[in-house]
Parts: sequence; C-alpha cells; structure tokens
Amino acid sequence: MYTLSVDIGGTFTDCVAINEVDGSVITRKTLTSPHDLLEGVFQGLDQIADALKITTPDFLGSVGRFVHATTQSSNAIFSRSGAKTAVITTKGFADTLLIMRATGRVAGLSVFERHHYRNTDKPAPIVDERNIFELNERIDHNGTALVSPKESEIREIANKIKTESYQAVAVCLLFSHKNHDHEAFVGETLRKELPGCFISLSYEVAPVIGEYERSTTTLFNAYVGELIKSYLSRLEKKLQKSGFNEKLLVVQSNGGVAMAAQTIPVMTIESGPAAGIVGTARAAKQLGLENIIATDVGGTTFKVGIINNGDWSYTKETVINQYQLRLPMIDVASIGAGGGSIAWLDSERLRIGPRSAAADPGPACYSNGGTEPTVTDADVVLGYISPDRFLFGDMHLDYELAYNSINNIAEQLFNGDVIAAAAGIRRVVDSQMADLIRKTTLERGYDTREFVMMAYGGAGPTHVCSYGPQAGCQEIIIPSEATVHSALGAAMTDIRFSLSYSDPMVLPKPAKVFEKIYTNLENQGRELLKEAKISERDYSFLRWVEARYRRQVHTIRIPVIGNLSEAGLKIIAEDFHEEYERLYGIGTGLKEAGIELINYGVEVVGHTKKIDPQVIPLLKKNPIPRLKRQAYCNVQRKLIDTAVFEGDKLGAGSIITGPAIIEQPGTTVVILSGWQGDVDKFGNIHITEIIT
Amino acid sequence: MNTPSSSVFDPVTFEVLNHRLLTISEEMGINYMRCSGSNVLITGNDAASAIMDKEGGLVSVGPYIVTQGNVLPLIVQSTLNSSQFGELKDGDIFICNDPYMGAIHAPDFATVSPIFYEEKLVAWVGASGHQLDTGGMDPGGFSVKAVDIHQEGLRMPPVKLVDKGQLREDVLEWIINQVRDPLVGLDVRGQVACLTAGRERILGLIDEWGIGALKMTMEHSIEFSSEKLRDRLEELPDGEWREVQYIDHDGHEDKIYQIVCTLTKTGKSLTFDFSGTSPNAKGLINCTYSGLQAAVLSAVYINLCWDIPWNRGIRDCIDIVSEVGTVNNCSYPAPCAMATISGVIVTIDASWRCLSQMLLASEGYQQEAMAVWSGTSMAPIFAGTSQHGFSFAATEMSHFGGGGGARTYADGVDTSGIVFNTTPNMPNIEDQESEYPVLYLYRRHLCDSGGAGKFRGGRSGELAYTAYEPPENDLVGLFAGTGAEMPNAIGLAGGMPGNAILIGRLLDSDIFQRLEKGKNLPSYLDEIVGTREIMRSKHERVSINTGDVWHHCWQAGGGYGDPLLRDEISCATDVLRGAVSKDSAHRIYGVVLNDDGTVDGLATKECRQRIREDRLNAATSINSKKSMMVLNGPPKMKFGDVLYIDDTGKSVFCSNCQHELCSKEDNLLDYLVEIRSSLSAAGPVRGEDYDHGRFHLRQICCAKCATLIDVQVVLKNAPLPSMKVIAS
Repeated sequence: MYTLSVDIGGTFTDCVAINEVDGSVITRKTLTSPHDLLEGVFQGLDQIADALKITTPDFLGSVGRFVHATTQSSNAIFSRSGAKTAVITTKGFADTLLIMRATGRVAGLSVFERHHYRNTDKPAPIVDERNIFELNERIDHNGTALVSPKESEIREIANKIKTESYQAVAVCLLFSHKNHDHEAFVGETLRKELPGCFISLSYEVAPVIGEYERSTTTLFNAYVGELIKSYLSRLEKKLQKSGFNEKLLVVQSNGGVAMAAQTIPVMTIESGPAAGIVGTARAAKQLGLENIIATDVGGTTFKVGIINNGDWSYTKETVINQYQLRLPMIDVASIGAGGGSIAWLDSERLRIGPRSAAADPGPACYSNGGTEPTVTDADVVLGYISPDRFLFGDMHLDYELAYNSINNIAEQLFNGDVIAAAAGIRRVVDSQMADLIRKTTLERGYDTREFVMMAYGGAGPTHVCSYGPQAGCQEIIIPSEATVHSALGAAMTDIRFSLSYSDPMVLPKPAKVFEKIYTNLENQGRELLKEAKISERDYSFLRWVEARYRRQVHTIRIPVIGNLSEAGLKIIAEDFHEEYERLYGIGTGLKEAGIELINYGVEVVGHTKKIDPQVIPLLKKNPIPRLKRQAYCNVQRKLIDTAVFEGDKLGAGSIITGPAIIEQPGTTVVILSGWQGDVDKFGNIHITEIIT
Repeated sequence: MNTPSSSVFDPVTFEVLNHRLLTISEEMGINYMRCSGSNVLITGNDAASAIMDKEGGLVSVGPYIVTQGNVLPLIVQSTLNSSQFGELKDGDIFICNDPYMGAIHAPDFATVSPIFYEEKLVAWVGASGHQLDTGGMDPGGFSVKAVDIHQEGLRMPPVKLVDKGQLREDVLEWIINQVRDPLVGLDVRGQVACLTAGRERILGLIDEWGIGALKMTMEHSIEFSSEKLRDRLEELPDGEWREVQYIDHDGHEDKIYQIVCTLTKTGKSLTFDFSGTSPNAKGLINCTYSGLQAAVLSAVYINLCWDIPWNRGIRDCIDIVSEVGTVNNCSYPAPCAMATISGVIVTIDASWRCLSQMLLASEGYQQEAMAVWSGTSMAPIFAGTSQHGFSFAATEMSHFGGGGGARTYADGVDTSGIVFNTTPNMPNIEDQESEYPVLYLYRRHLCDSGGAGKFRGGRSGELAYTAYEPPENDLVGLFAGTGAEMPNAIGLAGGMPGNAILIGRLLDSDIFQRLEKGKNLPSYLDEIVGTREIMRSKHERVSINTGDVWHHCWQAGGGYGDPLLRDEISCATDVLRGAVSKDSAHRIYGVVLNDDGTVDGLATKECRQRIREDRLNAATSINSKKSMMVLNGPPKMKFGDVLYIDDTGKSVFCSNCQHELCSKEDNLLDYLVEIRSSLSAAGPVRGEDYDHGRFHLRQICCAKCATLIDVQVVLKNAPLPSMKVIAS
C-alpha cells in the first residue's frame, strides 16, 4: 500500500508516494497547469506509476491514503475569479469590508513599500457597496439581542440576491461569535430561498471577536467556496474513475487534514506552507530535536516558521492580498525574497529585490527573455548550480545569459569583475535573509542561537550555509527530499479541526463557565472525527486559551490541561504570567489590572498511523565526487576547484568537507569552506562549522 | 568573516550593513513595544526608534510614526548641549519630553543613549513614544484650557535615567509619581530595553565588521540620501510656491491661525520659509521648532523621498526659515499638547501642497503628485467607568481612517490613513463595545466627503454612538480637533477640497424607548429624534448621558482636476456606491443620471456646458497684486493637465480648450478669472455649521472655457496662495 501526497504550488506540482511497508519514497515534480490543475496532478501520478512499472489505475488502487494540498483558493482570490458574491451585514455597518480598518492600504507591505504612499492602494474590492445588504438587527457585546431580524426583510434581500443572480452569500453580523441566533436564522431563510447559492455564515467560518477580520474570512469563504467544492469533487470523481477507492483528504491551513466534504473552503488557503512546517516538526522529532527554525526559499518568497518545544504555533492574523483574516493557520512569516529576486543599481548602491523575475520571464539564465540579473543567475555564475542539472535535468540553464545579465553591475561597481559582482549579490541577499530571520524570531520572543535551522525549497539548501550562521544558528539541516518537503509533511499529517470561541471575560469567573465552552467545542469535535471515520482511541483534544493583561495589548496562547476547576484556572493564570514574562521580560505585565481570557479553542486531532522513514544504507567509504568544477570560495574570494557530489550516491555516515556541492533532485546543497556536511541514517545532511 | 577596517566605500559591505542598521532600528522598536504593551503604542504605532551618528545625525529610523523619529537628533543635541552631565559615559541613557528641547509635545517621551567603542563616542540610539498620561490639568495629555506649558504636566529636560548601565530607580519613581497611569512606567522601561538591545547589536556589528565599516556605512547612507535628493531636485523645476493653511479655535477663542509656507527651489536647494505665520496661540494648538522641522521633513519624505532612505541626508538638503513666537514655532511658555494634530499636521498640509505643485510642473515626476490627504487629525476622548468596573480615558481612533489625496491618474484611497503614520489602524466596533460602555449606531464612509475632481479625493468616515449601560453613569466626552470651520485637504490642479470635521450631539434621543418597543435602531443622523447641537471643535469635558447620541466625522482627501472632466461613468458608479450624492453629481460634476443610475449623456453634456456658462457669468477678474501664477518653462512644458507651453516656448495655453492665455513670462492671474463662493460650493460638510463668514472658496479658471485651474480655501485678509515656476 502507498500513501500518496500531492501539493500544488504556484510553479510546480509535487507528488510523493510513500511505500507504507518499507518507508521508501518516490517523488515527482511537474509544472503546475493553471488552466486545469488536474492535468499537472495526473501527469505526476502517471510518472510515479511509470517509475513503479505499473499502470496508473493499479497504482491508485494500491493507495490507502491520498492527501492533497492546493493553491486553488489563493489563485481565485488573486485573480478575482471567484463567485459573484453578496454580503449581508448589520444595519449601519455595511462599509466594514471597504474601510478595511484603514490598514488595508498597507497590510502585508514592507516598510519600503509603505514609504511610497502614492503607490499604495487598497486591493480591488471583491464586493463593493452595491453587493452589500444591510439588515435591521443588533446584538450587544453581552450577546443580548436588541433588535431581532424580521423574516420578511431577509426574504426581501434574498429576492434581490436572486434577481441579480449572485452565486454566493456571506453573512457577518455584529457579535455573532457571541450569539449566533440571528445569523443562523438568516442562514436558514437564505438556504430556503436560495437553494443554488453557496451560503457562508461568519459564526461557522470564524467564530472570533473582531467584525472586520471575521467578515473578510467569511467573504473569502463564500467567494472561493463553490470553486473549491467543485474542484475537490471533480478530483475525487476522476480519481475514483482511475482506480482510487479511498476518501480524499485535504490539507488545511492548520497543518492537519480533513475529508473533502468537511473542508471549509477558505481553510485550504496557504495549506502548502503549513504542511512544510508539519514536515519540519516530524523530521525534528525523528532526530530528537525540539527547537527548529524552518526556512523555505522559493522563486519569489522566503518563508520562515518556528518549531518550539517540538510544536508549531498559530498566527493571530493572516494577511492575504492585503485583507486581514482570522483563520486557524500555522504561523509562517513570508517575505519577498528568493531565487528570482532582481539585483539592480540605485545610483552607486547594489540593491536586491523587492522586484522578482518570478517564473515569467524568470532569471536571465532560463533563456525565457529575462535580462535582469537575479539571485539564481549569480548562483549559476558562481558555479554553484549546474546548468545541466536544474530541475531533475529537465531544464537547461544558460551560463552565458546569466553572466551577461550581471555585466552591467560588474562594470559600474566592481571594475568589470563579474564574479565579484555575483558574489556581492549573493552576499547581500544572504545577509538580508539572515536579518529577516532574526527579526522574525525576535518578534515571536525567541533567540535564534537556541535553534537548529532547517532549509528546504528550491533555493534554501543553496544559500543556508551563509544565511543560517549569520542569523545565529550553529547547526543546519537539509532534510532528505528537501524539494518536496511540504508534500512529504502533508502525507503523514493528522486529521485536525481547530475549533474556537470568543468571549472576553476578566478573571475571576467560575470555572464551570469555561468548562461549558470547552465541552461544547469538544462535542462538536467528536462529531467531526466520527464523520472522518477515526476510531475513538485515536482521538485527542488539546484545549487552549488566549489571554491578555486587562490593560495591555499582547495576547498569548496558553494550553489548558484537563477539565477545568477553580484550581485549574489558577494554573492558567500562573502559566500565563510565566509565559508573558518569558516573552516580554520580567516585570512587564501589569498584574494588578487582572487577566482577561478572550478566545477559547480546542485542537481536535484524529491521529493517523505514521510510517517510519526508510533508513539508508551505511556507507563506509568516502563518497567520490561526480566531478570537480570551478565554484566560488568565500574565503579565497575566487573560483576554485570544488567537488560536486551526487546526492543519491551518499550514504549514512558520509562526511562531505566544504567547499563542496551536493546535487539533489530539484536543489543544490552548497557547503562553504570551513563547514562540513554529515549524512545521517535518514539521508538528512547536517551542516556544522569545522572546529580546528 | 572578513573585516574591512578602512572607511573606503565598498558596495557589498555597505549594503549588508545598511540593511543591518535598518533591521536593528526595527528590532529596537519591537523590543520597546513588547515590553510596553500599551494600546496607543501598539495599535496606533505611535512610536519611533532610530540610530544616529556621533553628532546625532539620523542614520536609520524604524517604521512607525514618521514625525517622532525626526525629533531624536534634537534630543541628542539638547543632551550634548546640557552642562549637567559633564562627560558622557558608556551605558548612559537620557530621557527628555520638553517640546522646547526636542520633543514634539509633552506626551512623547524620548530617550537617547550614546554608544562608545574603545572609549570613543561612535553613535547614538534613540526611541520615542506617546504616553497615556503626563500629569497636568486633564488626564490623557490634552488640557484644552491650558495657557502655558506648565499646565500640561511633566516637562523633563534631558535627565539621566540610566547611569553607566544602572537604571536610576529614583528618576523612574519620580516620573511615575508625576503621571496618572502606571503603564507609563512600563513604557519607559520598554525604551530602556529598546536602547540596550540596540546598543548591544551595534557593538556586535562593530566586533564583526570593524568600526571603519560602521563609519563608512553611516556616512555613506547619509551621503547617498542627500545626493539622491539633490539629483532629484536638479531634475525638478525651479520656482516659488506659497500656500496658506489654517487652524481654527485655540481652545479658548474661536480664532483663526494661519500658517504661511513659501517654498523656494533653486537648483539643488530647497527652502521652506514660514514668514507671515500667525503668532503663538494662547492654547494648546502650537508646535515648537521640533514640530515644525518634523512636519517639513515628513512632507519632503513622502513627496520627494519615496525611494530614498529617510535620514539626516534629507535634512541636509533643506533650509527652514521661521520666526520664534509663531504658531508653528512657538516661544516658551506657550502650550503645545495638541501640536501633532494641529500645528504639525497643518504645517505638513501647507508644505505638501507647495511640493505637489512643484511635482506637477515636471513631466517626469507629475505622477508622484498628490492632493493633500486628510488635512487634520483629532482627539475624540471619552472617559468614565467601564462595564468591567475600571475607570478609563479612551481616544476614539476611527479618525485614523482619513481620506487619501487624489492622484494625477487615480482617485485617492478611501479611509486611507493619516499621513504621519505609515501604518494606520482603526479599531473594530466589537472591540470598542466590549471594552467601553458605548453602543455604535453606525460607522461608514461619509458621502460627498472626498474632494470633487477629475479624480476624487479618498473618502473619510462618520460615526455615532450612545452611552450604553454605563455602570456609574459617569461617562464624559472631550473633543479636540482642527478643521471644522474650513477643510484642510486642498485639491490640486482644479480639484476641490475634501470635507471638514464636524462634531455634534443629540440630547435626550428616543433610542432606548425605540428598543423597548421592539423598533429598529436608527442608522442615519436624521432618523434620530433629539435636540441637535453642534459642538465646538475644541471643548472641555461634557457629560454623555444615557440616550445622548454623539456623532463626528473627520477629513477626507482633496480632489485632482476639474470635476467637470471626471469620466461620467465613474461618477455614476460613485453615486451607485454612495460615494457621491445624486445632488453633488449634478451640481458639482455636472452629471445627470437616469432613474436606474445610468448616465443621461445628452443631459450631462448640457449640464456641464451650463455649469461652465454659470462660472463665466459669476467670474470676476483677479486682483493680481497679491499673488501670482507664472509658468515660465521650456517649450511643451506641462503643468499637470491644466496648462502647457506651446512648441515654440512662447506662451501658456489652457490644456482643456487650447486657448492661448498669455506669454509665459506674464502673471497668468491677469488672464484668468476667479469665482468666489461659499465653501459649500465644494460639497456638504465644508464648514457650514461653523461658518463665521471668514472663509470662502476661490475657484480660478480659464476665461474662455471656464475649466478650473486651481481651487483654494482662502481667509479674508490673509495672504493668497501663489506660484512662480521658472524652469529651463
């Protein structure tokens, strides 16, 4: 039997099949096919079947678990190709989605972008005033209904929605997280009146305080809902036709999976990066490591995630297309830097990014019409990337074009020395990534020196030997299968539902008030796990609470252990205080103001069987390089003969002394002078400084 | 890591270290905010952190409030000038909030710390942040009735807060003793944490790269900015621009104060001259030189330095001429607690319009020009006991969603922010109501708020709330805002100004009776029954009783170009979206709509023609002695899309009707005409509820086709805006 995982990214679709018996892995990368995503998926599946020398139906017939991550929802939002959507909101507050708390003009932008006021805009509205309907109703902050909605008025609105042929409706009423009677009533009436419409209710999608973020999350869900549902059902049907007999599992932004039918569409947003963090956590566990900084360098973005004490954390806020959302999403910071970042001259300054050549035209060396130098072009000129081994050798890179693209910068700043210019580009981008890692970790209250760094994605392994140590990490790990790390992470993730409820309450309050909240959430969770056919002994429920000091802004999430008693509440208060001081410093909490509990949640997990990774053979002899090639040495500051190894010829125990290059399918690991790489029994490469 | 030790410029080392310094400034800010946890600081981003060279020259500044970062060099100057300290020591930190020694207003506490390497002073780090209280007459820092700075609370010259790394608890206790809010103590500790972290990071950088590399980077970073700005200035036309802006009411009297900005640009130099500005006000609207400089720099950063690092190099390119004792350069002991939202922001507005008109005269930079953004800011404060049993004083922060100025190719952004904050933020209604005993009736974009124009100014907003189950029934409101009698967001190239602010209340409304009867809540002002009252733009504490409804709106952005030139479909869409009323579409834009909202093309054409005729009928010739408009440039030069010089380079023409106006050396005002009317000709909420007959709208237009060339808000007997472009 196989576990199959397919992760559709912006450029590539990654397919991974894991043999459940011996843990061996087959991976394939195909180009993502934006016009019909299934094309790229089935191409990959055919290729894997080919590699196994069986037919695709036979292969799919032997797949016991199919996990899927897709970018469909983000694509629909960025290209504005979702459903024609109407919004219903509380009277007096129709403009919430357009005002965007004013932050919408700059949310998610870098400091440099924010400095150019004239060039900043709110995103093109997904809905505007003409698509937003106000309803006479009102609930106060206690959850008390002040004005009840009238059925006749809802029906009137439904009629307009019908006449104007909307395909989806998002309903977000004030304080519905606290009391959802009105929303439920609206939903019920709409479902009766508009049977063909996709209805998205805010208390179901994002039951948290904050009407703007709840509204955007509900709107996004309505906007992509039908698309995701129909895409998943099309995929499921096609898979069944091709011999697949099991249920399709869909990766969620919380790092878990859910059955296709249980998937809340908006929760598929950014599920790929979330899976990467899950993969990192799993790899860390195998190696007995607790603290990891995960770095993923792709073509256009650089992503940083943190595993602390073996676990990831969730974001309080997600920004997509400058909209702020509240989703249970694994915290991954994303920064615009990568292999495609363009180097340019700003008077006599050497600047890198934020513009990127992306996939089209791509770096100059892609021979796709790009002439501006990118980080990848510098890597080619410096001899790190083999022009004939890029992307499994499927794509030939043009050294000449890469060299020429850097010429102008070399002329202006480096006395015509192209190698020095390329090394300069690399050094600048690596140190900027190191700065960003440090800042990101500091923002989350951690010290990089206490972390091991893991690097994956197309360009991560090529650059980590410079940015990792600069960021303060002493040890670096390149996971085996670094280029399909997210797909691999997704393959073995658990079923997971992140349920939550908002109700700010200042302690002291009787414990039973909170216990009731948790019991309700757990009951909901039990139903979901039952639906997903998980056996009861694999259930687990992890409670948490988000709290803050009454007068201060920082909220932090604290685990809640077991059923709540008065003593349990005391422990929560103590844990909160301890965590607050750990994060923000001794004496920084104004205790006298009291602790306010705001959000309550349960991570509902249905554990799935984990397959042990394959152990690779021990290799006693020193590995022999495929060839020696001129590559840039960071110490001698010139091109020198450098050993180039083939990744699959290495074994457990192999030691590679820098300067050296290891070519893996889809990426190149660069080990600089003064560093060495040790291959462990799972095929991970550990890079550390050579102590002399 | 190699360590170049000379000061020779190396592009790679520079780039690496320059980014590192920026990151350190940001990290300092993060450390500060983490420790403080104060809402104003974090939600409002009302803070700054910076790295300076050994003389206190700004090298890199963190991403938050633009104006606050600019004061830190002045605080360093005051510290260096103080005779109290003798020799500065490694690990010392000084705190100062005196507006006469560098701070903008007393609530902004700033700290600075010298960094030594091998016993030599090599750099400074600094931080500044808005505090919740400063002592003084009223909680929260705004004492509307103050007549001198001593009534505005704690006023610290540079005081040694940390002595060679040791926090002086006596000084900290003394500060805490002076203020009402214990969070201030944490905030000060946050600044210490921030400076300590910044200092360690810079010393680490020196260890790794050498002192030479740090010096090279700092020097070059400043040089780079000033060279780049000078190069840009050289590309822009020379000339002289004058703009006049106003502050209404000083907290005591309903008096108007004028800020006159004359920008002279010659070659690579830029001078802002504020001669003609009103003397100090009696009340809190003044700003000191610190505020004046911060305002000018903010306007220059945003309008000319969108891609140039904001540091000392920019200041080096600018001269500021101003007389001490004026409203934006006040003399001791004038109060200035409200400087940020009056003296400072209005100075930004005046400088902004001069700069944007200079950009408009350059073909290469024209697209960077913007009409003035939300011209003022406000402090709507409500205080009392909350439903949680705590006493509180909160600022309603929705006005942070001011409207953006229109651009030369697009509308301004709706609820886009206040210019001095790079990252604006409005609260959620649910958070407000969960925290304070209030119930909001509506919060929405304000119709007709954006300045009319070919491209419309971004909309502002309006809101209303009522006291809701206040446990002690002790809710009070205090309001301080600028720009009620006249709008400050002036348009560009014939665009109209955005709306003015307005604050009012309805006493003894029937809201709660309605709820008891199961009726709907009102969601528009005219649906509320009650005694309507317009409030002064600056008033003392007044009770908010149950059933009273308070409402206010803030300023939108100015428009660009004559509204008659607006694409009629965009105008129809604006009406359908509620951005423009049908009445304004007709009256100001000349667009006539059918009942279904589509454009009646023929009627629109006629209507627009009629408006042009009406303008010409109402127009008078201009007394050109008091101001000028000269466009003396090379052949084919354009001023926005309103004026141009012909191919031969002799005359100036109207871009709309190609009418030859005059020779390019002439004062255009002798050949144009003007219409003087009430401000409401620009739309509703343009000060009509505060009118004393002092202001009017001055529309300057082509004498032939009546297309608007410039629309100004002018005060009786005040200097008029003026422009003289001399480009080669």
